[in-house]
Amino acid sequence: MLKVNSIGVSYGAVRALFDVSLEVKRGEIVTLLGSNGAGKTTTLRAISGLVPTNKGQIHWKDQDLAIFNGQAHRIVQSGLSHSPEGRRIFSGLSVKENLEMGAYIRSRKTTQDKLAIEEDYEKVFTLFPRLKERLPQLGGTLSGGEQQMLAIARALMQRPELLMLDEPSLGIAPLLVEAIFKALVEINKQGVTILLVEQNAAAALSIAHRAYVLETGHTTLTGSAAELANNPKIREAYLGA
Amino acid sequence: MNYLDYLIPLLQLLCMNVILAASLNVINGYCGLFSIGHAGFFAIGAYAAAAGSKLLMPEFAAAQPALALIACVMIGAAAAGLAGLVVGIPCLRLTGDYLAIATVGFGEIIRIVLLNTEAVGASRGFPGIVLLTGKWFPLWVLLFTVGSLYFIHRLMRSSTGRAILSIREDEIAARSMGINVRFYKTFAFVVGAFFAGLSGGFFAHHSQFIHPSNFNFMISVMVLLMIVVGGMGSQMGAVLGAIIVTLLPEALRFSETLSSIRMLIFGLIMILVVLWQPQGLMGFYRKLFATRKAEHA
Repeated sequence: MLKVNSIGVSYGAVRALFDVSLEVKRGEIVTLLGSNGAGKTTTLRAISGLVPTNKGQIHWKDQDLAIFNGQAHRIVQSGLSHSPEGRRIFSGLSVKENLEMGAYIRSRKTTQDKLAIEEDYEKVFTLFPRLKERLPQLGGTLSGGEQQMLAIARALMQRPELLMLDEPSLGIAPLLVEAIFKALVEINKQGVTILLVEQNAAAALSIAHRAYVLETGHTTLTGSAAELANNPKIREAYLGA
Repeated sequence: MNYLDYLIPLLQLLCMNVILAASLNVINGYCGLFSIGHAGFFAIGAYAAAAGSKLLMPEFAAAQPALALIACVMIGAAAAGLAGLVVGIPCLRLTGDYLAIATVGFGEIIRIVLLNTEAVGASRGFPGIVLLTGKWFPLWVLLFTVGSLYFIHRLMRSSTGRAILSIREDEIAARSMGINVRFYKTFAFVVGAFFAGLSGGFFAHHSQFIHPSNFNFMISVMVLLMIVVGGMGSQMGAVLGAIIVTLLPEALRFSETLSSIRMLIFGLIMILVVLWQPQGLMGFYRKLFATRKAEHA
């Protein structure tokens, strides 16, 4: 479904990615592990067109993403959603308005379209009942965990085929992290493919099917989540065991 | 002297300032771009409208003053909107301070070009613009002011408006929502320029004589001041800000002791507002409202 072939990215004179390759198949949860500065966030940004690549190709549903010419909004419209690092909800807009922004790209031409959007509201409220309680509240007044839920819900309102999540557990109470990861499994069961970037390797490997390890801009290791969880190097470097 | 001879032109000026503030508010307040070259668009609107009424259609203006006035201000607005598009496409790649510097540069370029264009009178100014519609002019100004405010109000409540707001809130998030950030930034910039030009068109007919020095950098600063005092990102704030910035210096004129230092007092009030109420008057209002809500809960 998504195939990243040996891409490189530079921020000015600084190279962030040297050689990153990965593949995500329809229906999977794939996680991208790595320490700070390994290039996880940059990889997601490159896929969603927020930063330009200087080498390699990205194939998305059998077409080269280069045809979108780095226009992020067109990549989103093709079914590839990116919930960016640090949540980035619209803090001055209400929870309801944030969700409406998620559905911004959706067509509203037929009653069927409108019904589908209504259905998706119900779906995200079932996943995250807290959001329904807080609909009129300003996004900025939510707790960190609730903001993360809102960020995921907002991305789901785009009805993506592939959802890319950047550090959904960052700075969130452990109890809420558990709730969010449960929700991710549920979202995946409903047919959304997930590419998850996560510092919390244990949690990520517990829900993922496959994983990639990123080190200083190179993909160095790949395998099923179970294989990597038992790999002594990984256990030492990322799982703290 | 009849006091109406003083009051009506003052209120006309107020209306033009309201349109100016509301238009800059679309760019700075709603879209979060930092533009301080608004005098440039104001100037283009004024000169284009003046050229329209004096050079393009003098006979038509004499025969049908009301229609000619509408046509001329629309020419001014369209010219300014077009300028907004031409300036916006390259400049909106910039953000923050850099965009501010580019827009200041644009405003000055416009002024200096006008100062050196023989066709519009160069440094002698552009005289002899007929006050079309005569005594009905104030009503037309008022009508267009209300119309502009209504249009912007409706725009900001549409999905286009929501897209513009989301860019201010968080540009990266807006992009990952599938919003064409560059398009909507340019769109907001053009809308702002368009209404500034509309205001300029009325200004030209109101003054009947325009000169490049009417459109210097201080005008841009004054419009920025209006929306800062009123509260960025609030239409009501822009209107209130325009009222205060226009009428306060006038009000101080009536006191004999204060009139000589009225600009000083005016400057002081501006400093105090920014120190204590950086969110502007509407920010103050919202805070009051929010605390009341909390008490009720």
